[in-house]
This record gives sequence, structure tokens and C-alpha cells, in this order.
Amino acid sequence: MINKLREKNIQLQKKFEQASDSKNVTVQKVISQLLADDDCFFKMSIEHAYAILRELNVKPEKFEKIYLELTKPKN
Amino acid sequence: MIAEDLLDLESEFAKKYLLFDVEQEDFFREHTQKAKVNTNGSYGIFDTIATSEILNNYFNALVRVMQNPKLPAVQLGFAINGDIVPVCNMTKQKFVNQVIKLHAEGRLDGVQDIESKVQMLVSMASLDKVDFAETHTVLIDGQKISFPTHMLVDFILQDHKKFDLQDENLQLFGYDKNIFFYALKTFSAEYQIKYSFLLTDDSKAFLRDVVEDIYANTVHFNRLNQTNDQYLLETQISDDLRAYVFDGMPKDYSTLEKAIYIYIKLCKKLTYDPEFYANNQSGMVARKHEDISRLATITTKQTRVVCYEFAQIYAKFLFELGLNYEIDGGMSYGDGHADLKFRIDEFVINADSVTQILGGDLYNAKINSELEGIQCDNVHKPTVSRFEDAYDRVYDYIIRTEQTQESDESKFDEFLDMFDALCEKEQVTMQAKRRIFEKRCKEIQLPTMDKITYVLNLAKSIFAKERNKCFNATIISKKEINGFNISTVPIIIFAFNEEGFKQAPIETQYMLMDSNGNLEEISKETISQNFQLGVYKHISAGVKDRHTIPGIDSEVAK
Repeated sequence: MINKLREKNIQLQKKFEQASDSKNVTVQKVISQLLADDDCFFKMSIEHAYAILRELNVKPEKFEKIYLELTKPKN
Repeated sequence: MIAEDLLDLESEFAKKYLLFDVEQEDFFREHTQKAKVNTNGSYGIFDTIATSEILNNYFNALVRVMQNPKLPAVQLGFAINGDIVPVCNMTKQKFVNQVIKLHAEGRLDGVQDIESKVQMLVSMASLDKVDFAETHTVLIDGQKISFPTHMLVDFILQDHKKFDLQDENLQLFGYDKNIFFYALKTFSAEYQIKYSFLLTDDSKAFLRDVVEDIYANTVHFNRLNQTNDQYLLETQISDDLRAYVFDGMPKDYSTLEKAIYIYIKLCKKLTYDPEFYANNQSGMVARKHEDISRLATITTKQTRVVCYEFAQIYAKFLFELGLNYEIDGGMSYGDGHADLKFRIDEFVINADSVTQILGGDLYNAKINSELEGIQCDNVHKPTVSRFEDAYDRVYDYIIRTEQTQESDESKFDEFLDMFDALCEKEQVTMQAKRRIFEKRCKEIQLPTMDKITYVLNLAKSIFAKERNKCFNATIISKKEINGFNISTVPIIIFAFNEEGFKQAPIETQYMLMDSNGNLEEISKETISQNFQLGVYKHISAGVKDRHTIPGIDSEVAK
């Protein structure tokens, strides 16, 4: 799941760069740094996690399901 | 029977004791005094009357004792039914000094031939006039070395002043000074020179320094030259733990540095098992730790150990470094506290990660505090300094490496702060959080301890905002009875309160995660009652203060 978010992050970063939307480019770059850590969703609050999902254009109704997926224990 | 006849018995006793006639028991008891106890036993004093009596009637026997360089004291006693009853001992040195003093004061004038007797005693108590064996042989780590006795005697009396004894590279008579001083030390001990002979203050001080290893390092000789560990073959270390321990170890480390590095890394990772502590180191939990095959299951995630497990794991690493060690424990594996001692060249090192459960090195290392369980037995200051330098170097290196890793963590926090500055956080209701939390808790399948760790981490993320105000998680121990077996298991009590624990204490709801990871609601009354019945107990082992459960009377939940 985190890899899907990383892909989405790269896509959005390119999109905002093309649109010269510097604020959102910065947002995506910061998110990219956060997503670099496999355990990032265990290191941030659920409020942060949901905000990242929002910035990655995930629909709000899917937040809970994706969050549960992201916080599954690794075996 | 007259006194001198008693000494003609030529018995072993007669060679060691100054035997007097049994009829004189009361006399000698009255005129001798058992005095202070020192490291060599109990030594006393003979008064002027007893001294005169010995010089008058027991002089031949006294000469015999004085001429035996292996006897440190004039031992006064009598024979009864074939046994010796000791009355009092006086060190030869003290005795002769007393004779000299009493003679100078004219208090021994009644003794026959006192002048020549005093001269004889002084001569016999002079180190350079004693008939020692020609050589003094020492065994040093399997090698026999003989030193001419006169060389050692001269060194004690005056030759020690001719050398710079502080020079760490000093060679004495062709030998490393540590070896020479070991010979001096054993010679001095064998003949009890400090107690037996008349010495100048300078020689006395020198001998004291020899014994205390002021000039040389000798405590390591003949120690830990082999390893007898019957559990070595059974000791298995997980690949995960091994990889963690060796991770980051500089390749150019000496064996000493490697040994210290491994100790610190183990202390940083492993933790004392609170269940073992909570159960007073007995019962089922204790039996679990008595199984040596458990060592193979200890990993960077399953870190709970007890003292002897730590010692056995560390010993295995030391063995792999090619070092000799001995584990000092009970009669068998798992029987009481165990620590270990090992040797690296000139160092003899003690390693005990659990000098105390609350505050030993398993705790100290995690907060980068001074370690107390790894120390060298050596007392020679330059040697101790070399050990301490190595310890400081390794510990500093580990702390610096950790800080680099931690800075990755702090970078993450910096990015999170940047994200906060750019975007608003989402709002998540307490109800939604609780739903997510419960769902995740119910779904996951992990072993108990791992599940507890996972759940606590998850709770930290989900209830970050509400922690301790609207949400609380407390691990406690629970007694479980299964047939005749009583075991203690860790469980978690969660407390939730949307309004806040302080604002609306009556609204607090509780959930319990049992030892199988099942989550269920529980009432405040049941929790309190279980604490009162002793079914629940707080776990106070480890570094943190005891937690309290919101709304549960802390007096009840002791």
C-alpha cells in the first residue's frame, strides 16, 4: 500500500511542477521524504496520516480502510 | 615434664608451636592477650612476664620457630591428649620488636643471657640473614620461572630504589617488570615477610606497594587460562541478534574493544524480563528461563532475558572471540544470579549486566549512563586506565553512532513539522479512532509480547492527541489459574474518555486485552476488585515509574 502512495506522490509532484504550483510541489516533496520511511505511519499521528492521504487525493471515505492497511503489522 | 622436654617431641606440632606445659595454661592465658584480627588471622600480644618466661624457659623452641621462614608468628599452645590447644599467636616481627624495646627499658634483666638472646633474635628476624631456599620458583600462565632468592631479598631491602619503577616498559633482571613483581609478591606472601621480619619503614612501604600492584600489573597471572562451560554447545544465538551485535563494529577494534562493544550492544538491546521480576523469579516464568534452548529465540524483537541468560549469551560471544571465561552462578544453569569473568591478555574483566534489576546496565546502557557492571579486576593504575580508555572509546563510538541514527529520526520530525506548516491536519473523532483501534486489535495475529508492543505503538499513533487526557494504556500482570498451575501473564488495560479523564471521570470506559490478544470491555469495578484480590498487579520492574490507570484508586491498585 505504501508503494502505491509513493507512486501517487511522484505523479502529483510532476503534475504540480508542470503547473508551476510551487506550494503543492513543496507539499509533495515533504510527503515524499516522509513516505521514504517504511514505518512512517507508526511515527505520526492519525491526524497527520489522514492529512497526507488527503494531499495524495485519496477520497475521505477511503481514509479509514487505507489507514488500517498502512498500519498492519509486518510479518 | 619440663618445658624443654615437650619440644623434644620432634612432632610436626613442635616444629610450628611453642608448646608449654599444660600446667602453665592459666599462667599464659593470664599473660597473653588475643588481639586484633587481620587478613592473616588473629594475632595477639604476650606481656612482659610471658615474654620473660618464653625467653627463659622456651628459648630453644623459640629459635626453632624463628628459624623456620615459613612461620610468620610465634604460636603459643599446649598439647593435651595428642591435640594442640592454641593460646595466642604473636607475629615474629612484633615479638622481636617487643623484646628489643623491653630489653632497652631494662625490663628483661631477669632473663639469663639476655644480651646474646636479643642479638640472636634480631639476627633471625633480619631478612638478609635468613636461610631461604636458593631460588623462588613461580608458575606464570603455565611457565615456570626461578628467581635467586637473594635477588628478591636485596630488591626488597634496597635495590628497588635503583630503578624507575613507574616505567611501564621496565625490564628487571631480564624479565618484564610484571613478571618480576609477581615473583616478589608471591615470595612476600609465601614467607609472610611483612609480619615475620624486621624491616625499615622504606621496605615496609615498598612491600605494601608491591601487594597493592602500585608498580606492576600482576592480578591476571594464572587466571582464566581455560574455559569450562558445560552449556557452551547448547548455547545458540539467533542470526538476528548476532547481526545486530556486530553491526557497526569497527574492523580495527582490538579484542578488548570488541568485547566491550558486544557487552554494550547487548545491554542496549536486551531487557530484563518484568514477568520474571513480577513473579519473584519463581514459578512458570522461572522454568521458562531455565530452558537453555530459549536463548536461540532471543532476537532484537524478543529481547527479554534474565541475568544468567545474558551471561550465557555474552559468554558465547567471548568464546567466539577466542577468550577464556568463567560464569559465576548457581549449581546449574538457571540456578540463581550469574555473572561472568573473562580475561584478555593483561586484563581480567567482570561483566554483570544485572548488578541490580532496577538500575543495572540493561537500563544504564539505554540511557547512555555510566555502566557499572563491566569492570576490570586489575588494580595497577596504568592497566586500569588502559581498560577505562578502551571502555570510553567504545561507549562514545556507540553513542555517536546512535546519534547519527537518531538524527534520521529527528529529520523525520522536521519533515513532519514542515508538513504541519504547509497543510492542516485532518480531524478524526474519538469514536472513529476507537473503531479503528479496536478493529486493528481484533484482526492482528501475533505472539503475545509482540502484539502488546504493536498495540502500544499503534495506540501512540492513533491517540497521540488524546494520550493521558482521553486515552491511556497500562500493562499490568494478571494471575491465571489453570488446574494446579498458577501463572502470571501480562495484559493491557485501556481507558477511554471522550470528555477527558479529569473533566468527566464517571464517563471513563475500560477495555482489556488479555494474554491471547483478545479485546473486551471491562468495568471499573471488576478492575478494582481484581487488584484488591491480587489477581492484577502493577509491574514496577524496569526503568519507568509505576503507571496508574485513570479512575482506579492508586491505593487499591498497588
